[in-house]
Order: sequence, then C-alpha cells, then structure tokens
Amino acid sequence: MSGRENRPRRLLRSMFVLIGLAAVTAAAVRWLDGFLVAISVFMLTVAVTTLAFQLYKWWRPEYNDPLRYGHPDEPQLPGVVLVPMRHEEAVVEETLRRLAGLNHPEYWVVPIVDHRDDPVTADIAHAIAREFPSRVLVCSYPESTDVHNKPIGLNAAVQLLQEMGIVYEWIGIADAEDLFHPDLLRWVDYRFRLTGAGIVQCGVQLMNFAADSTHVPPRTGHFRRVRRWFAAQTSAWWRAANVLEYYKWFQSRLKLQAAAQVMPLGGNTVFFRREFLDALRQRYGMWWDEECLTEDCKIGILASVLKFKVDVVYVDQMVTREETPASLRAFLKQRVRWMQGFIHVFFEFDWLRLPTGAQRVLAVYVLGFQFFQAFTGVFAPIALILALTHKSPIAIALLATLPLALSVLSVVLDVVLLRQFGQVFGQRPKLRDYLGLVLGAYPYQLVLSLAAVWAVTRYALGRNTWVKTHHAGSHLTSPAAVPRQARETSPFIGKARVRTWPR
Amino acid sequence: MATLTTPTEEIKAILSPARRAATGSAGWLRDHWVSLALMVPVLALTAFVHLKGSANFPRYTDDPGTYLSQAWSVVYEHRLSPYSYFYDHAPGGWLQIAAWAAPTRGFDRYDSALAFGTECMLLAKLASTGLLYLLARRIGLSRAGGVAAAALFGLTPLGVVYGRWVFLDNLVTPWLIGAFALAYAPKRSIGAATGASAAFAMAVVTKETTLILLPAFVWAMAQNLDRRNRTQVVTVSAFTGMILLLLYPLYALYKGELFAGQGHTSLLGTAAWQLSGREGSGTIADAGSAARHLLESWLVLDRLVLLGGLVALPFALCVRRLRPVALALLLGWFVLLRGGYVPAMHVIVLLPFSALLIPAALEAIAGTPALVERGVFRVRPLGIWGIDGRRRVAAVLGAALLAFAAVTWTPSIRDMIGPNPTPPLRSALNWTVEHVPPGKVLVVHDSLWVDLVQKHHYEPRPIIAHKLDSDPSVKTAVDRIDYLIVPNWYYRSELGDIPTLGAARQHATVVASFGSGDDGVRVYRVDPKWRPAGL
Repeated sequence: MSGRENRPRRLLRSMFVLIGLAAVTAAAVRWLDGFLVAISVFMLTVAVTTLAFQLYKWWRPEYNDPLRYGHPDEPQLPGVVLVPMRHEEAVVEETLRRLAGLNHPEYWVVPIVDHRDDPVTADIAHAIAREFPSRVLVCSYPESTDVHNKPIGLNAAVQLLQEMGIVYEWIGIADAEDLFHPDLLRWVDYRFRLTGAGIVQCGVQLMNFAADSTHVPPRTGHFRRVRRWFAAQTSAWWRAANVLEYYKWFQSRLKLQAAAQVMPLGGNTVFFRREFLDALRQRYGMWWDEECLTEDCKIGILASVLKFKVDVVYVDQMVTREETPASLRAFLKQRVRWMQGFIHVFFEFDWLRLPTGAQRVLAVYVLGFQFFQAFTGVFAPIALILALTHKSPIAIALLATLPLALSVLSVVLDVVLLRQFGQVFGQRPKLRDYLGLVLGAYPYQLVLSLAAVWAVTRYALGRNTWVKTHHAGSHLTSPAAVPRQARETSPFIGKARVRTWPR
Repeated sequence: MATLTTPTEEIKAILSPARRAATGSAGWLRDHWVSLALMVPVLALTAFVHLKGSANFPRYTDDPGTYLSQAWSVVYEHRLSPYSYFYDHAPGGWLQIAAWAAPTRGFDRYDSALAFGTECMLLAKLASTGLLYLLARRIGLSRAGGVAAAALFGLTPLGVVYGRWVFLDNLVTPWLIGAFALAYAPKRSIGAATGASAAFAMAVVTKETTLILLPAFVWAMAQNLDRRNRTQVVTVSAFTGMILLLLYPLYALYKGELFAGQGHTSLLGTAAWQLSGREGSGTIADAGSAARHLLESWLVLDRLVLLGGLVALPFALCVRRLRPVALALLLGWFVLLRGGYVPAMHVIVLLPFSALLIPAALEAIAGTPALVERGVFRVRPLGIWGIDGRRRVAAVLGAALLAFAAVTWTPSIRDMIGPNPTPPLRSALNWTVEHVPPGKVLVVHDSLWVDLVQKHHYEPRPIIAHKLDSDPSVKTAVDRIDYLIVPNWYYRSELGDIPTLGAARQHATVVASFGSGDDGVRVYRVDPKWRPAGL
C-alpha cells in the first residue's frame, strides 16, 4: 500500500508525474494542431460513451418497461441482512424495527455493534433483539483489533453465522440509516432465483435536488431566517446534478456494466449469494478484504473475475432513498475519496484477471471514467477556444466543436431527466432547479475536476490515511428534522468507511 | 434444431467474439436468405444496366465535372474547390466522393474522371436500391412488393439516365432512404433513431434542398416512437441531427464567411441569391413553363414510375404506415407546382418514393396484413371488393404494370446500354491532348477539367468556363486565353453569364470540330494578341 512507502520513493514518483506533465504540455504547445486532434478524438470518445452508457435504460423501449423485472413470487431462499453500525444511536432503533418487519418468511437481521467503543448503540440493538428473538441477532465487533472498518465487521458477522449454524442462501448489507422497502427481500429472493446471479444490487437514490434550509447552519443576527433561506437557495445548485448522477448510475450505467460484467458495486442494498461468498473465501481466505480501502468496488470486480453474474434492480418504489451531502465541501471531499479509491483499485490490478480482453479494457474505462469525464467536461470549451484563437485548420476547429456539443446535449438530457425524476418521485422541480442544472453544469464539472486533481495528488503523495469520523451531532439532537445524509455513501465505491477526511 | 442453431444468451456469453460474430452472421443469413436470393439478381441487373455503355450515354452535361473537380481538390489539395468555394452547395456530396477516391485512388483508375464518377453513382444507386427494399419491408410490404419497388427504382430508364450523371441528388438518395428505413426500425432504439437523424442530416449536407422533405421524415420518426423511451429518443436524435446540420454554417462562421460582406464569398449571401435571385421555372400547371418542359422531358424517358407514383398517392394516403412516404412524394411534386427554380435533377428525389408507392398501393388494395392493420383496406365486403377479389384485382394490375414496363423499358434500356457514338466533348479532349501542348491557357467545359489536370498535367491549369467571370480570383489571374473547348450550347445560351467567353471567341478561329448541333464542340484557338478585358 502506498501509504507505507518511504519518502524518497514518494518524491521520485511525484517528480515523474511532474516531468510527464511538463513533457505533455511542451508537446501540446509545439504541435498544437495534432494535440487538439488527439484530445478532441479522446474527448469525443468519452462523451459518446458517457452518453451511450447513461442512456442505456432508454436505449430500447423494453429496457424501460414497467414490468421488465418480472413479478416476485413466493420467497424460497433464507437470508441474512447485516447492518454495520457505529454511533448510530439516533437511527438504530427505527432501522432495526423496520428491518425486523420486512415481508419475507425466513431471514435474520444482524446488527454489528462495538460493545466497548459504542455501548449506547449496542444496548439499543440488544433491546430490539430481545423484542424480536427469532429475527434479530446481535454480532459484536471483534475486540481484538483497534482498527475500525466495515469489512472486519462483516467478516466477523459471517463467521458468527457459520458458528451458530444459521442457514442462509444470501447476505445483504444495509446501512444504519437505510429504510428498506417492506417488499425488497421478496424481490431479491425472486431475482436470485430468476437470474442465477451471484450478486443482486438494488437501487439507491439521492432524493433532495431542491434547496433545503436545514442543510445550512443557522444564522444569527438580523434577518437570520431570510439569510439562511438565501444561503440555502444559492448553495443548492449542484444538488440536482448530484441526484441525477445516482439516477443515471443505477438505472443505466450499472445495468450496462452488469451486462458487460465489469462492475463496481454500491455499498448498501447489495445482496450476495452464498456460493459467491464461499468462492471468495476459498480464493482469498476471507469474504471481504480487510486491508482494502474500497472493498465494495473491489468485490464487484472480483465477482467478474470469479465469473459470477451481477443483477441490478431499480424499481422506483423499492429504491433506498438517501440525501445529497450536506454541503458542497462535503460533496467535494466525498468525491476525492471515491476517486482515490478508484485509483487504488486500479493499482491493485485485480482487473487484469478478468476473463476477456474486452472486459479488461472496460474495467480500465470504468475505473478511469470519472477522471476522463471530469477532464472532458472542463477541457471541451478550452479546446475549441484554442482551435479558434490559434487559427487551426477549420476541420480541426469543427472536430473540437463536437465534444462541446455533446456536453450541451448531456445538459439537455439532464433537464429532461430532472423532469422525469420529478414525475416518478412526485416532486415538482422548479425553475431554479433547472437553472441550477444548466448554469451549474460547467461549475459542477470544475468541482469534479478539482476532486480528480486532488485525488491524483493525494494518491501520488501516498496520502491515503483516513481518520475516524466523528459522527456529527446532527443525528443526536433532532433526528426528525435533519435528513439522513449520504455523506459517506458512494454508489461508486460504496458506503464506505467509518472514516473521513483528516482535519 | 432451433436450440442448436440459435444460441441462448448464456451460451452466447461464453463464446469468443469471433465465434459470436460467426454464429450471428449465420443466423442473419438463415433469416434473410430469401431476401438475399431475391435482391442479388435485382442489384446485379441494376449494376449491369447502370455500367454498360455508361461512357457514351447520356450526353455530357454541366455540373458532373464541377463536382468531380471539387472532389479532386479535396483529395489532392485539401480544399473544398480548386476555385473559390462560394457555398453554392453544402460540401457533403463531393466530400463523400473524395472519401471514396482517396483510399481507392479513384482518379487514377479510369481513362476519364467521369467514369470514376459513374462508379460512385453506381455505389449510391446500389445502396439506395437495397435500402429501398429494406424500407419497403419495414413499412410492411411483402417480399414481392419490396423487390418490385427495388426493381422499379433500379431499372427505370429515367433513373438510369439521371443516375449515371454525377449529381449530388444521387448521393442524397441512399442517405434519405436510409434515414426513412432507420426511422421505421422495429427495435425503436435510440441508436436507430439517432442514425436516422444523422442520415437525414447527411442527406441535407449532401444537397441542402433535401430539407424540404423534413416534415415527411419527422412524421416517419413520430409514427415509430415508443412511449417508454420517447423523450430520450427525441432529444438525442433531434440534437444529433441538428449538430450535423450546424457543421455547415459553423464551417462558414469559423472561416468568417457566414455573413455577406465585401471581398469574400458567404453562405448567407449565396443562399439569398439562390432563394430569390434565380429565374423561376414556372409551374407545371402552365403549359409553356420551363417546369412543364422539364416534366415532359422526364416523361419521354419513362411514364410508368412518375405517373404510377402519382396514381398510387391517394391509396397510400389511406394507409397509416405509408403516409410519411406519401408526404415525401407530395412535397417533391409540390416543388414543381410552386413556380420557383427547378433543376432538371429534381426528378431524382421523386423516383424512390414513386417506386415504393406503386407496389405499396397494390398491396394496400390486396390488404397485406402487415401493411394495413386496419382502416378502409381491412373492411371485408363480399364479391369483387372482398379480400379475394381485391387480391385478384391487385394481381392483375401488377401483371399489367410489369407488362407495360417490359414493353416500354426494354427498347430504351437497350439504347442506353447499346453502342453509342463517342460524345463530342470526349473527342475534343482526345484532340486537345494530341495537338495542344501543356503551357497553353485552356478554357474548358467542366467535364474535361480533372482529366486535363490529373492525367495530362496541363499547367497552368485549364479554366472551367463557368468560373471565368464568376470567380473573382480567376478573373484577376487570367492574363491570356489560348484555346476554347466548350460545347456549342454555351455560345447559344450561356454567354450572358460568361461574357469573356464570347469576347474571346470573337478573336478566335476554329481549329477542330466534333459533332454537330448544340452538343457539338468546336475547338477555338484565340488570337495570341488578344487580352481579356479588365487587364
């Protein structure tokens, strides 16, 4: 792991990166026309594939058929839902009660709690377990280690299941704040049997595209309400784009990647078939990789390596609903973390073991996609301006126009999609939401690019140490007023870690 | 058996791409071998009729040489025209010719560039014919109907004449028919719809007049939308089509030639001239008009397809799936009624839709289920207008049409592929190469230009007669003229546009003469002491 590298090697690596960048810049200045052609072709490829991927759901009418997932029959497979939780006392009771009452005849709910570190949550979990003795079973986080992460907890829980001889055919993962739809497990059960998949990933959806004053810290002094309202309005411009990213990701990209069998998973509302977990253990000695920062992304790649199919289900009513990060700053940090995780997974080279060459290429594309997209979004207008100001041949200027045109198309599609999103989930987007989407399109790409550069820099400097999250008090003070945050949850890498940005 | 030959998704997934392609194409062949067996002879016959005798028939006309010279310029000079490009047409057409010429060394393969042009037209014609069959099948015609449409289009003498000439309209047809065929794609995918819009946009940038068919194309698209992906299909396909179309004005904009201005050509300036500056051809309703003369000249070549298409129109308008195509044909005829300028090659756009609607109308009468799901043609009274009776009527009509085509087309086609005298311009070219040394300044008909430059290396380059007075850069560069090699009709009708040509002839003597009448060519040698005006 790069974090353990010594300083001279890190310096050497940064120097290589800098020299490479300088060489590329010099070449670009010297052969501007050739550079513009190459870069335009690259951006065009990225833009076209991005569009094709995000349009998968609508590519053919039957892909968007309301009945495309079939209709669940009587459940037949016993299963387990694991709920890793830490300092979740505000939501644990509601979550567990809800999980205990799902519409499925045979399943266990296993909250994973740390008795030593977090006795409050543990007490609540045990109380619920006493209330539902044949349904809820508390697993304790191993006390032998000081490291706190999700894979260790999950592995401990599976170990417990084996020791107790609990029969299960699948294991699902829920986050402490996730409210599953009562019928979700029936769907999972049905899809496992129908498709023979090793993994079923169900939809997760960010919901709040609109401005919400509660996202902004209270103001003091005169007109505090008005000022808070104004701050909320002006700071929410990126939310619609963020919400739509999930919408596109789960409905189109994941479906397509599942079909191509290269797939980073989401971190929750994901269900694993027993055979798949056993195969993982047989091959790697454990179920989840306790060393890997981004085990969710990695496990998706490993599924393909082990030739297990992934099924993606996005039924509008069933999706697990979450909220966008609290602030733009939080959003940026979240992105840096995901992107760095992707770089990390890339350099673990598990994807090299994918069965076909096409899948390996696709894996590189999937892992690098966020970087390509950020680059394309920001550089498209710059390329055109360069071509025009430097009097490049007109064919090159026209070529450089195309990626920009496709960026415009993608904004137009987002506007269309926001309207559809509003219809599906019964929220009416307002003009300001659309404006935020259109006017915010370029700044949004800038934020993503910033995150990309930041992530690359951090990785190059070998900085991937995360400190534990101190879960902010918002959950404790008024759980009803404060919406659940998706701050730690990534559809790309998954819920991640009980860790956050170093302060 | 079916399980052996049709791999399921699971089996497909484990096959290598090569194997998948192999089984895929085997499956395709199995599904389509009847169509192939029917269409291959039609295409072969079309190709034979198109090529045989194409060197000497039809007569040389204006424009083919110009388009070829522009394609030549794209390949060898990386410019849109050897002269100033003045936005007379969108450049899509000769860019396509150049795209075929560059990798295949097209301008070196034949004695004459026009022969290469004929080859390009053949490719376009074969593509159009095949796509017309596809469109017919997708609309719901039977195989017989599809083959009939393809044969009517591929073999009509009118199409043979106009299809051999290097006209942009011939390159429009495959894009246009392809656009309709994709619009009717049964999968209704974003890919098909986007392809349809892109093809239509290509048709428009090949020749901008195709834009008048936009309502018909939009109707065809609208008819084939599916509620489940409608919004995305419309957004993506409309946007893609618009982007492709916008490339043309963008080109002008980037070059600083979008708006009219002093000292440079401009897209909008030329467009204004084309829309209003040209003399109208009148309407075909007026017996003495140019449009009427044009129509009559078309009907001399073939009555069946043009008039048959008109007769089929009302029937086609009764069938839902045929209406967009019927509208396309209506719009084409509307141009002739409107009274504006109509070029002779306008007939090219009428042919495929007419050829399609004739068998379509017969099948509508016969009540082909895939074509007429409901409506007047599904009503089933008894007697002669019952379904059996109507089928018989359609069969009799079809047989009559076939007989009529066989009787009227055979002699005309025999003339077209038979031995014909060498065109006078061709003879004039051969004489020139033998008798005029390079270094002389030639003013030539456009059909000779590429051969003189590419094959015979005339330097300074010959001047296309029409550019003599219309291109400012030619006007300033010419300080003398040595030979004039243009057909006689130039001296009768074109001198208004080319005064310098007339002035030069007044100081010239005939040194060779080929053929007679309008198409005849006299080679003039201009008095060495004479200088063009303005110098």
